[in-house]
Amino acid sequence: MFDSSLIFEDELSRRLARMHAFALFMSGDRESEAEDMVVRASTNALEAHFVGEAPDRALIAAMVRECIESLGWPRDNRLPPAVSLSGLRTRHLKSLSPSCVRRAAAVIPTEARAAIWLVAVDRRTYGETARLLGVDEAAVSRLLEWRDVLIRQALDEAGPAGQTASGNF
Amino acid sequence: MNCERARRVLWPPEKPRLADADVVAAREHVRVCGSCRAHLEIDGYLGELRAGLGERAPRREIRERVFESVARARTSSRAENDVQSGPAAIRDPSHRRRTALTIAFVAAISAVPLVHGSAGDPARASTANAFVEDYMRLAVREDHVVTPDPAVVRQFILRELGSHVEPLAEEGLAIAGAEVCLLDGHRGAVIRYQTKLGMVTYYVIPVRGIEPRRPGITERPGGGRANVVTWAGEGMERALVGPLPADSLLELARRAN
Repeated sequence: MFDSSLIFEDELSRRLARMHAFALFMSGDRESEAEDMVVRASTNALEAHFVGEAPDRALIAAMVRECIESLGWPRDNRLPPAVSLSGLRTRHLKSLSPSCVRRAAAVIPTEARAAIWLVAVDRRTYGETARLLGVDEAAVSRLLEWRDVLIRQALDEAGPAGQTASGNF
Repeated sequence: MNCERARRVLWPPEKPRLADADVVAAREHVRVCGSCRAHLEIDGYLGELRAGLGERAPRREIRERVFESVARARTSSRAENDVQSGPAAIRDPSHRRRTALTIAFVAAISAVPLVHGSAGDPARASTANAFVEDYMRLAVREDHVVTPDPAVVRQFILRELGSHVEPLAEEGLAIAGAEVCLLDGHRGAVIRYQTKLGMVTYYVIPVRGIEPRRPGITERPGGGRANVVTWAGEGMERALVGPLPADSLLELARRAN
């Protein structure tokens, strides 16, 4: 029993920074909301671990589920507005601060935020992401189409530096 | 092969994969498709953002809150389900230090009213609480100092607890260091002293509204090598635990009081 408890807390300790970052991104950089979600997800993951789920899976699944429940999950199938990123250069992206990107996340649908994080930031496959979100892989692809809106918004959030960058598109 | 499928098949690009027909076709598609190349480049950058977005450790308060809630959930579950085998972790050499600390904690916890508020709990659940709390203390990666210098210890406790605590200064007591402890959800400090008879620990735990109490020897059922003296004052629960004779600990506590 203690062996398994130590494994869970070890895993939590290792993953906490990433869970917190995910929650901040999902909440649009709202610290207190993100913190509450991480706390609830951690205890929910422990419950899942008690019934046999591996700690790593339990933690990420609980974190995604918690965000879905807390932030709402409108299945409205909205399509992203057309945004062109042609001409975008890596240096434009490098001008973005993490907080700009997190704030920008607030303008796209919750499920799109989760898909973008899990795929683009967390480097999960479309299949894993689909399982975590409870959708199929084609739906993940559609959600990822919001990525360009996120980047455009982040450049706007960045102010003059971002404006300069977006002026080059 | 279309863009959407090519991106899906090749994601994440850094992951090794068998070059089956799908992968070969997707690679060929990306080679000739500027849009896919740009897309993958931007996604690559978003991956780099990970470092900025979240690899730094969250604030200590968040870590504490998370591990406290997990410890609470675990111990309440333990109390319900009963613990089948306690010290399995002892078998793991990597946990020796943790276990040694825990045994000290259990010894202290078994005697100190503050940290053993749930007197009616099954003994095993209490032991589980102590294990989890000690684990939690390590998991939140609290700082500690190893120093013989009372000024450094004073400063450490002031920084960690926001309270001024004067380390005991008596002949025969050599300060070995200090660290943060978590007992029954209360965050406190432990100052360790080396003596001829072994290690003596001085617990100082801020507890809001605690009634002052004179130092007294706390009898423990079964006795054991360590004696315990507890007292309270200035908003803090205090305890001295160690192998010194109980009267000596009591005298030290009176002077500290």
